[in-house]
Amino acid sequence: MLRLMIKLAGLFSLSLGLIAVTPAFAAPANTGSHPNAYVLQVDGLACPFCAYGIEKEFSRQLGVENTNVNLANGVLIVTVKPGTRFSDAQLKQVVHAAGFVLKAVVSRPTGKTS
Amino acid sequence: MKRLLAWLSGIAVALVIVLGLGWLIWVPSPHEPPYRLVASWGGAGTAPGQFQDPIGIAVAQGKIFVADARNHRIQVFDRSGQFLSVIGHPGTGLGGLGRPMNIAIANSKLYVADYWNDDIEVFSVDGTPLQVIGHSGSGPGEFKAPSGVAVLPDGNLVVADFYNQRVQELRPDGTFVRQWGETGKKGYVRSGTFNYPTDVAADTQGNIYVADGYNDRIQVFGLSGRFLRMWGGPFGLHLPASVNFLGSLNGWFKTPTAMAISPTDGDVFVADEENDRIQKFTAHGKFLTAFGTPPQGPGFTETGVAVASDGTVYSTNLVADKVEVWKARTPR
Repeated sequence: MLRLMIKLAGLFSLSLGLIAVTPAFAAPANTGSHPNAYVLQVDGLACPFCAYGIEKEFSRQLGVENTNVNLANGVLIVTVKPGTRFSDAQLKQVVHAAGFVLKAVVSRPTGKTS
Repeated sequence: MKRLLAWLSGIAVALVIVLGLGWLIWVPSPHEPPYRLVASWGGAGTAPGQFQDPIGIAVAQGKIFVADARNHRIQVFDRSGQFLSVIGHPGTGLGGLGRPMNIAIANSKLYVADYWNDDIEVFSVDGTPLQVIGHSGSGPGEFKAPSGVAVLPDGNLVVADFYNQRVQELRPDGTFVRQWGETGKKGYVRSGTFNYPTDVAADTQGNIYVADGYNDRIQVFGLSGRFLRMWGGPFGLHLPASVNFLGSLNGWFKTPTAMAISPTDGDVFVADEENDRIQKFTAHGKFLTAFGTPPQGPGFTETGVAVASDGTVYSTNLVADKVEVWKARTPR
Protein backbone atom coordinates (compact mmCIF):
# COMPACT_ATOMS: atom_id res chain seq x y z
CA MET A 1 0.00 0.00 0.00
CA LEU A 2 2.86 2.32 0.95
CA ARG A 3 4.55 1.65 -2.39
CA LEU A 4 1.34 2.48 -4.18
CA MET A 5 1.12 5.69 -2.20
CA ILE A 6 4.71 6.55 -3.05
CA LYS A 7 4.05 5.89 -6.76
CA LEU A 8 0.94 7.99 -6.67
CA ALA A 9 2.73 10.78 -4.89
CA GLY A 10 5.51 10.59 -7.45
CA LEU A 11 3.07 10.82 -10.33
CA PHE A 12 1.29 13.68 -8.60
CA SER A 13 4.52 15.61 -8.09
CA LEU A 14 5.67 14.89 -11.63
CA SER A 15 2.42 16.12 -13.11
CA LEU A 16 2.60 19.21 -10.90
CA GLY A 17 6.07 19.94 -12.15
CA LEU A 18 5.23 19.33 -15.78
CA ILE A 19 2.11 21.45 -15.67
CA ALA A 20 3.89 24.20 -13.83
CA VAL A 21 6.71 24.55 -16.35
CA THR A 22 4.62 24.18 -19.52
CA PRO A 23 3.74 27.88 -19.94
CA ALA A 24 7.42 28.77 -19.93
CA PHE A 25 7.85 26.89 -23.19
CA ALA A 26 4.69 28.12 -24.87
CA ALA A 27 5.38 29.42 -28.36
CA PRO A 28 4.75 33.12 -28.91
CA ALA A 29 1.66 33.93 -30.90
CA ASN A 30 2.11 34.39 -34.62
CA THR A 31 0.21 37.59 -34.98
CA GLY A 32 1.52 39.48 -38.01
CA SER A 33 0.69 43.14 -38.59
CA HIS A 34 -2.49 44.63 -40.01
CA PRO A 35 -2.85 47.91 -41.91
CA ASN A 36 -5.94 49.08 -40.04
CA ALA A 37 -5.86 47.09 -36.85
CA TYR A 38 -4.43 46.89 -33.40
CA VAL A 39 -3.09 43.48 -32.51
CA LEU A 40 -3.24 42.96 -28.78
CA GLN A 41 -1.97 40.18 -26.55
CA VAL A 42 -4.43 39.70 -23.71
CA ASP A 43 -3.93 37.56 -20.61
CA GLY A 44 -6.62 35.13 -19.52
CA LEU A 45 -8.61 34.79 -22.74
CA ALA A 46 -9.91 31.25 -22.78
CA CYS A 47 -13.57 30.76 -23.55
CA PRO A 48 -16.13 32.35 -25.88
CA PHE A 49 -17.52 34.25 -22.91
CA CYS A 50 -14.18 36.04 -22.61
CA ALA A 51 -14.01 36.64 -26.34
CA TYR A 52 -17.51 38.06 -26.60
CA GLY A 53 -17.03 40.25 -23.54
CA ILE A 54 -13.97 41.89 -24.95
CA GLU A 55 -15.55 42.19 -28.41
CA LYS A 56 -18.57 43.82 -26.81
CA GLU A 57 -16.43 46.41 -25.03
CA PHE A 58 -14.49 47.31 -28.17
CA SER A 59 -17.65 47.44 -30.29
CA ARG A 60 -18.78 50.37 -28.12
CA GLN A 61 -15.68 52.42 -28.95
CA LEU A 62 -15.97 55.05 -31.64
CA GLY A 63 -14.10 54.11 -34.81
CA VAL A 64 -13.95 50.36 -34.19
CA GLU A 65 -15.12 48.38 -37.22
CA ASN A 66 -14.81 44.90 -35.81
CA THR A 67 -12.88 42.73 -33.39
CA ASN A 68 -11.59 39.25 -33.78
CA VAL A 69 -10.40 37.10 -30.90
CA ASN A 70 -8.12 34.14 -31.33
CA LEU A 71 -8.71 32.14 -28.18
CA ALA A 72 -5.92 29.72 -28.94
CA ASN A 73 -3.14 32.27 -28.62
CA GLY A 74 -4.85 35.02 -26.63
CA VAL A 75 -4.63 37.52 -29.47
CA LEU A 76 -7.21 40.19 -30.13
CA ILE A 77 -7.33 42.02 -33.47
CA VAL A 78 -9.24 45.29 -33.39
CA THR A 79 -9.90 46.69 -36.85
CA VAL A 80 -10.50 50.43 -36.87
CA LYS A 81 -11.67 52.98 -39.40
CA PRO A 82 -8.86 54.88 -41.16
CA GLY A 83 -7.49 57.61 -38.93
CA THR A 84 -8.81 56.11 -35.70
CA ARG A 85 -6.12 55.86 -33.04
CA PHE A 86 -6.11 54.67 -29.45
CA SER A 87 -3.48 55.33 -26.85
CA ASP A 88 -2.05 52.45 -24.84
CA ALA A 89 -3.93 53.76 -21.82
CA GLN A 90 -7.23 53.67 -23.72
CA LEU A 91 -6.58 50.14 -24.96
CA LYS A 92 -5.65 49.05 -21.47
CA GLN A 93 -8.80 50.59 -20.06
CA VAL A 94 -11.12 48.88 -22.56
CA VAL A 95 -9.48 45.50 -22.00
CA HIS A 96 -9.70 46.05 -18.26
CA ALA A 97 -13.41 46.92 -18.51
CA ALA A 98 -13.95 43.50 -20.09
CA GLY A 99 -12.24 41.88 -17.11
CA PHE A 100 -8.86 41.15 -18.63
CA VAL A 101 -5.30 42.39 -18.62
CA LEU A 102 -3.60 43.87 -21.66
CA LYS A 103 -0.26 42.11 -21.87
CA ALA A 104 1.16 43.83 -24.93
CA VAL A 105 0.29 45.92 -27.95
CA VAL A 106 1.84 43.67 -30.59
CA SER A 107 1.24 46.03 -33.50
CA ARG A 108 -0.65 49.19 -34.38
CA PRO A 109 -2.38 50.32 -37.58
CA THR A 110 0.21 51.08 -40.20
CA GLY A 111 -2.23 52.82 -42.50
CA LYS A 112 -0.61 51.02 -45.41
CA THR A 113 -2.64 48.62 -47.48
CA SER A 114 0.27 46.69 -48.96
CA MET B 1 23.09 13.55 11.48
CA LYS B 2 21.10 10.38 12.11
CA ARG B 3 18.45 12.38 13.90
CA LEU B 4 18.21 14.80 10.97
CA LEU B 5 17.86 11.91 8.52
CA ALA B 6 15.16 10.36 10.69
CA TRP B 7 13.36 13.70 10.76
CA LEU B 8 13.56 14.14 7.02
CA SER B 9 12.41 10.57 6.44
CA GLY B 10 9.47 11.13 8.74
CA ILE B 11 8.49 14.30 6.93
CA ALA B 12 8.85 12.58 3.54
CA VAL B 13 6.65 9.67 4.61
CA ALA B 14 4.03 12.03 6.04
CA LEU B 15 4.07 14.04 2.82
CA VAL B 16 3.68 10.90 0.74
CA ILE B 17 0.75 9.76 2.87
CA VAL B 18 -0.95 13.15 2.67
CA LEU B 19 -0.45 13.40 -1.08
CA GLY B 20 -1.57 9.80 -1.58
CA LEU B 21 -4.71 10.29 0.47
CA GLY B 22 -5.37 13.59 -1.30
CA TRP B 23 -5.05 11.85 -4.63
CA LEU B 24 -7.41 9.03 -3.60
CA ILE B 25 -9.99 11.45 -2.21
CA TRP B 26 -9.87 14.27 -4.75
CA VAL B 27 -8.91 12.49 -7.94
CA PRO B 28 -11.71 9.96 -8.32
CA SER B 29 -11.66 7.06 -10.73
CA PRO B 30 -14.47 6.79 -13.29
CA HIS B 31 -17.48 4.68 -12.25
CA GLU B 32 -18.72 4.33 -15.82
CA PRO B 33 -17.02 3.95 -19.19
CA PRO B 34 -16.86 7.10 -21.30
CA TYR B 35 -19.77 7.77 -23.63
CA ARG B 36 -19.15 7.06 -27.31
CA LEU B 37 -19.57 9.55 -30.12
CA VAL B 38 -22.30 8.22 -32.43
CA ALA B 39 -22.94 11.17 -34.75
CA SER B 40 -22.07 14.76 -35.47
CA TRP B 41 -23.22 17.44 -37.87
CA GLY B 42 -22.49 21.00 -38.88
CA GLY B 43 -19.31 22.73 -39.99
CA ALA B 44 -18.26 26.36 -40.21
CA GLY B 45 -20.46 28.74 -42.15
CA THR B 46 -23.65 30.73 -42.30
CA ALA B 47 -25.86 28.39 -44.34
CA PRO B 48 -28.62 26.40 -42.65
CA GLY B 49 -27.03 23.56 -40.74
CA GLN B 50 -23.71 25.35 -40.43
CA PHE B 51 -22.46 27.25 -37.40
CA GLN B 52 -20.23 30.07 -36.29
CA ASP B 53 -19.57 29.36 -32.63
CA PRO B 54 -22.31 26.97 -31.51
CA ILE B 55 -22.61 27.52 -27.74
CA GLY B 56 -25.85 26.63 -25.96
CA ILE B 57 -27.86 23.52 -26.76
CA ALA B 58 -31.18 22.14 -25.55
CA VAL B 59 -33.39 19.19 -26.43
CA ALA B 60 -37.18 19.06 -26.24
CA GLN B 61 -40.07 17.49 -28.12
CA GLY B 62 -37.69 15.42 -30.23
CA LYS B 63 -35.85 18.50 -31.50
CA ILE B 64 -32.39 19.88 -30.89
CA PHE B 65 -32.06 23.65 -30.41
CA VAL B 66 -28.60 25.16 -30.93
CA ALA B 67 -27.51 28.73 -30.11
CA ASP B 68 -25.45 29.66 -33.16
CA ALA B 69 -23.80 32.61 -31.46
CA ARG B 70 -21.93 34.46 -34.19
CA ASN B 71 -24.76 33.86 -36.67
CA HIS B 72 -27.21 35.54 -34.25
CA ARG B 73 -29.73 32.70 -34.42
CA ILE B 74 -31.08 29.53 -32.90
CA GLN B 75 -31.09 26.58 -35.28
CA VAL B 76 -33.49 23.69 -34.84
CA PHE B 77 -32.76 20.11 -35.93
CA ASP B 78 -34.40 16.75 -35.65
CA ARG B 79 -32.56 14.12 -33.67
CA SER B 80 -30.79 12.80 -36.76
CA GLY B 81 -29.30 16.25 -37.44
CA GLN B 82 -31.70 17.22 -40.21
CA PHE B 83 -32.08 21.01 -40.27
CA LEU B 84 -35.66 22.10 -39.53
CA SER B 85 -35.82 25.85 -38.94
CA VAL B 86 -34.26 29.04 -37.63
CA ILE B 87 -35.48 31.00 -34.63
CA GLY B 88 -34.69 34.68 -34.16
CA HIS B 89 -33.02 37.24 -36.38
CA PRO B 90 -29.94 39.47 -36.03
CA GLY B 91 -30.70 42.62 -34.07
CA THR B 92 -32.34 43.79 -30.89
CA GLY B 93 -35.88 43.91 -29.54
CA LEU B 94 -38.52 41.23 -29.81
CA GLY B 95 -37.06 38.26 -31.66
CA GLY B 96 -33.71 39.99 -32.18
CA LEU B 97 -30.56 38.12 -31.20
CA GLY B 98 -27.06 39.52 -30.69
CA ARG B 99 -24.94 36.77 -29.23
CA PRO B 100 -27.19 33.92 -28.00
CA MET B 101 -25.44 31.82 -25.36
CA ASN B 102 -26.84 29.08 -23.12
CA ILE B 103 -30.51 28.31 -23.60
CA ALA B 104 -33.32 26.48 -21.82
CA ILE B 105 -36.67 25.00 -22.77
CA ALA B 106 -39.62 24.68 -20.40
CA ASN B 107 -43.38 24.71 -20.78
CA SER B 108 -43.07 24.78 -24.59
CA LYS B 109 -41.04 28.00 -24.43
CA LEU B 110 -37.46 28.61 -25.46
CA TYR B 111 -35.43 30.95 -23.25
CA VAL B 112 -32.28 32.48 -24.71
CA ALA B 113 -29.62 34.32 -22.71
CA ASP B 114 -28.42 37.06 -25.06
CA TYR B 115 -24.94 38.15 -24.06
CA TRP B 116 -24.82 41.20 -26.31
CA ASN B 117 -28.37 42.47 -25.98
CA ASP B 118 -28.32 42.06 -22.20
CA ASP B 119 -31.69 40.36 -22.07
CA ILE B 120 -33.51 37.05 -22.04
CA GLU B 121 -35.41 36.43 -25.24
CA VAL B 122 -38.45 34.18 -24.96
CA PHE B 123 -39.85 32.29 -27.95
CA SER B 124 -42.42 29.58 -28.39
CA VAL B 125 -40.70 26.35 -29.41
CA ASP B 126 -42.07 26.86 -32.92
CA GLY B 127 -40.12 30.12 -33.12
CA THR B 128 -42.68 32.83 -32.40
CA PRO B 129 -41.08 35.67 -30.39
CA LEU B 130 -43.06 36.15 -27.18
CA GLN B 131 -41.24 38.36 -24.74
CA VAL B 132 -38.04 40.23 -23.91
CA ILE B 133 -37.01 40.12 -20.26
CA GLY B 134 -34.58 42.64 -18.78
CA HIS B 135 -32.17 45.18 -20.22
CA SER B 136 -28.62 46.46 -19.69
CA GLY B 137 -27.63 47.44 -16.20
CA SER B 138 -26.67 46.26 -12.75
CA GLY B 139 -29.91 46.87 -10.89
CA PRO B 140 -32.45 44.22 -9.93
CA GLY B 141 -33.75 42.48 -13.04
CA GLU B 142 -31.08 44.07 -15.23
CA PHE B 143 -28.22 42.23 -16.89
CA LYS B 144 -24.64 42.67 -17.91
CA ALA B 145 -23.97 39.87 -20.39
CA PRO B 146 -26.41 37.13 -19.31
CA SER B 147 -24.83 33.83 -20.23
CA GLY B 148 -27.26 31.15 -19.07
CA VAL B 149 -30.88 30.71 -18.05
CA ALA B 150 -32.94 28.00 -16.36
CA VAL B 151 -36.60 27.61 -15.46
CA LEU B 152 -37.64 26.49 -11.97
CA PRO B 153 -40.60 24.15 -11.43
CA ASP B 154 -42.75 27.11 -10.34
CA GLY B 155 -41.98 28.97 -13.60
CA ASN B 156 -39.52 31.46 -12.14
CA LEU B 157 -36.33 32.08 -14.09
CA VAL B 158 -32.76 31.86 -12.89
CA VAL B 159 -30.15 33.79 -14.87
CA ALA B 160 -26.36 33.68 -14.82
CA ASP B 161 -25.52 37.39 -14.97
CA PHE B 162 -21.91 37.06 -16.11
CA TYR B 163 -20.35 40.52 -15.73
CA ASN B 164 -22.51 41.38 -12.72
CA GLN B 165 -20.93 38.36 -10.94
CA ARG B 166 -24.30 37.18 -9.72
CA VAL B 167 -27.19 34.79 -10.30
CA GLN B 168 -30.66 36.31 -10.31
CA GLU B 169 -34.04 34.71 -9.75
CA LEU B 170 -36.88 36.47 -11.56
CA ARG B 171 -40.61 35.93 -11.92
CA PRO B 172 -41.82 35.01 -15.41
CA ASP B 173 -42.60 38.69 -16.08
CA GLY B 174 -39.02 39.62 -15.21
CA THR B 175 -39.58 41.12 -11.78
CA PHE B 176 -36.77 40.54 -9.35
CA VAL B 177 -37.08 37.88 -6.62
CA ARG B 178 -33.55 37.53 -5.22
CA GLN B 179 -29.92 37.11 -6.14
CA TRP B 180 -26.85 35.15 -5.15
CA GLY B 181 -23.47 36.89 -5.22
CA GLU B 182 -22.62 40.54 -4.72
CA THR B 183 -23.31 42.65 -7.80
CA GLY B 184 -20.14 43.37 -9.73
CA LYS B 185 -17.86 41.83 -7.11
CA LYS B 186 -15.94 38.65 -7.79
CA GLY B 187 -15.76 36.03 -5.07
CA TYR B 188 -13.13 33.33 -5.14
CA VAL B 189 -13.61 30.97 -2.24
CA ARG B 190 -16.77 31.57 -0.22
CA SER B 191 -19.91 29.76 -1.34
CA GLY B 192 -22.59 31.99 -2.81
CA THR B 193 -20.01 34.20 -4.51
CA PHE B 194 -18.97 33.89 -8.13
CA ASN B 195 -16.18 34.58 -10.56
CA TYR B 196 -17.99 34.99 -13.89
CA PRO B 197 -20.92 32.53 -13.67
CA THR B 198 -21.44 30.97 -17.10
CA ASP B 199 -24.58 28.84 -16.79
CA VAL B 200 -27.38 27.74 -14.50
CA ALA B 201 -29.57 24.64 -14.37
CA ALA B 202 -32.52 23.57 -12.25
CA ASP B 203 -33.54 20.07 -11.20
CA THR B 204 -37.08 18.82 -10.74
CA GLN B 205 -36.98 19.68 -7.01
CA GLY B 206 -36.11 23.29 -7.75
CA ASN B 207 -32.46 23.05 -6.70
CA ILE B 208 -30.28 25.48 -8.63
CA TYR B 209 -26.91 24.51 -10.08
CA VAL B 210 -24.46 27.26 -11.04
CA ALA B 211 -21.41 26.81 -13.26
CA ASP B 212 -19.04 29.21 -11.50
CA GLY B 213 -16.94 29.64 -14.64
CA TYR B 214 -13.59 31.08 -13.62
CA ASN B 215 -13.71 29.55 -10.16
CA ASP B 216 -13.78 26.16 -11.89
CA ARG B 217 -16.53 24.76 -9.71
CA ILE B 218 -20.23 23.92 -9.54
CA GLN B 219 -22.31 25.40 -6.73
CA VAL B 220 -25.74 24.11 -5.73
CA PHE B 221 -28.48 26.02 -3.91
CA GLY B 222 -31.75 24.71 -2.46
CA LEU B 223 -35.32 25.87 -2.80
CA SER B 224 -35.02 28.44 -0.06
CA GLY B 225 -31.91 29.79 -1.69
CA ARG B 226 -29.53 28.35 0.84
CA PHE B 227 -26.22 26.92 -0.24
CA LEU B 228 -26.15 23.11 -0.38
CA ARG B 229 -22.81 22.02 -1.81
CA MET B 230 -20.10 22.66 -4.37
CA TRP B 231 -17.53 20.61 -6.18
CA GLY B 232 -14.53 20.87 -8.49
CA GLY B 233 -11.33 20.01 -6.63
CA PRO B 234 -10.91 19.99 -2.85
CA PHE B 235 -14.17 21.25 -1.34
CA GLY B 236 -14.76 23.33 -4.49
CA LEU B 237 -12.63 26.01 -2.85
CA HIS B 238 -10.86 26.97 -5.97
CA LEU B 239 -8.24 29.47 -6.78
CA PRO B 240 -8.90 31.56 -9.88
CA ALA B 241 -8.71 29.66 -13.15
CA SER B 242 -5.45 31.33 -14.12
CA VAL B 243 -3.63 29.44 -11.39
CA ASN B 244 -5.69 26.26 -11.43
CA PHE B 245 -3.01 24.07 -12.94
CA LEU B 246 -4.61 20.85 -11.66
CA GLY B 247 -7.94 21.45 -13.37
CA SER B 248 -7.51 18.57 -15.80
CA LEU B 249 -7.88 15.90 -13.14
CA ASN B 250 -11.07 13.84 -12.91
CA GLY B 251 -13.81 15.81 -11.20
CA TRP B 252 -11.95 19.11 -11.48
CA PHE B 253 -12.65 21.79 -14.07
CA LYS B 254 -11.02 24.29 -16.37
CA THR B 255 -13.78 26.78 -17.13
CA PRO B 256 -17.11 24.97 -16.95
CA THR B 257 -19.26 26.68 -19.57
CA ALA B 258 -22.58 24.81 -19.49
CA MET B 259 -24.59 22.24 -17.56
CA ALA B 260 -27.46 19.86 -18.20
CA ILE B 261 -29.40 17.77 -15.71
CA SER B 262 -30.71 14.37 -16.74
CA PRO B 263 -34.51 14.45 -16.58
CA THR B 264 -34.61 10.79 -15.57
CA ASP B 265 -32.02 10.38 -12.82
CA GLY B 266 -30.82 13.89 -11.98
CA ASP B 267 -27.23 13.24 -13.05
CA VAL B 268 -25.34 16.42 -13.89
CA PHE B 269 -23.42 16.87 -17.14
CA VAL B 270 -20.89 19.69 -17.24
CA ALA B 271 -19.18 21.06 -20.34
CA ASP B 272 -15.61 21.46 -19.11
CA GLU B 273 -14.50 23.61 -22.00
CA GLU B 274 -10.78 24.08 -21.58
CA ASN B 275 -10.42 20.37 -20.91
CA ASP B 276 -12.33 19.56 -24.12
CA ARG B 277 -14.62 17.20 -22.26
CA ILE B 278 -18.05 16.62 -20.79
CA GLN B 279 -17.94 15.40 -17.20
CA LYS B 280 -20.81 13.46 -15.67
CA PHE B 281 -21.61 13.58 -11.94
CA THR B 282 -24.36 12.46 -9.65
CA ALA B 283 -26.56 15.23 -8.28
CA HIS B 284 -24.31 15.21 -5.21
CA GLY B 285 -21.17 15.79 -7.23
CA LYS B 286 -19.76 12.26 -7.35
CA PHE B 287 -17.66 11.94 -10.50
CA LEU B 288 -18.97 9.24 -12.85
CA THR B 289 -17.19 9.58 -16.18
CA ALA B 290 -15.78 11.99 -18.76
CA PHE B 291 -15.76 12.08 -22.53
CA GLY B 292 -15.13 14.51 -25.35
CA THR B 293 -13.48 15.21 -28.67
CA PRO B 294 -9.89 16.40 -28.65
CA PRO B 295 -9.33 19.50 -30.80
CA GLN B 296 -7.59 19.00 -34.15
CA GLY B 297 -5.69 22.27 -33.72
CA PRO B 298 -5.73 25.37 -31.53
CA GLY B 299 -9.01 26.02 -29.71
CA PHE B 300 -11.42 24.18 -27.46
CA THR B 301 -14.20 21.72 -28.20
CA GLU B 302 -16.93 20.81 -25.67
CA THR B 303 -18.73 24.05 -24.80
CA GLY B 304 -22.45 23.33 -24.46
CA VAL B 305 -24.34 20.24 -23.31
CA ALA B 306 -27.89 18.88 -23.25
CA VAL B 307 -29.31 15.52 -22.24
CA ALA B 308 -32.45 13.88 -23.61
CA SER B 309 -34.88 11.75 -21.62
CA ASP B 310 -33.45 8.57 -23.21
CA GLY B 311 -30.00 9.47 -21.91
CA THR B 312 -28.53 10.63 -25.21
CA VAL B 313 -26.16 13.53 -24.67
CA TYR B 314 -25.79 16.37 -27.20
CA SER B 315 -22.84 18.73 -27.08
CA THR B 316 -21.55 21.68 -29.07
CA ASN B 317 -18.01 21.48 -30.38
CA LEU B 318 -16.95 25.12 -30.52
CA VAL B 319 -13.77 24.94 -32.54
CA ALA B 320 -15.17 22.46 -35.08
CA ASP B 321 -18.52 24.30 -35.32
CA LYS B 322 -20.40 21.04 -34.84
CA VAL B 323 -23.06 19.35 -32.78
CA GLU B 324 -22.04 15.98 -31.35
CA VAL B 325 -24.22 13.08 -30.22
CA TRP B 326 -23.06 10.77 -27.43
CA LYS B 327 -24.43 7.48 -26.10
CA ALA B 328 -23.62 5.61 -22.91
CA ARG B 329 -21.73 2.37 -23.46
CA THR B 330 -23.60 0.56 -20.73
CA PRO B 331 -27.26 -0.31 -21.28
CA ARG B 332 -29.54 1.96 -19.33
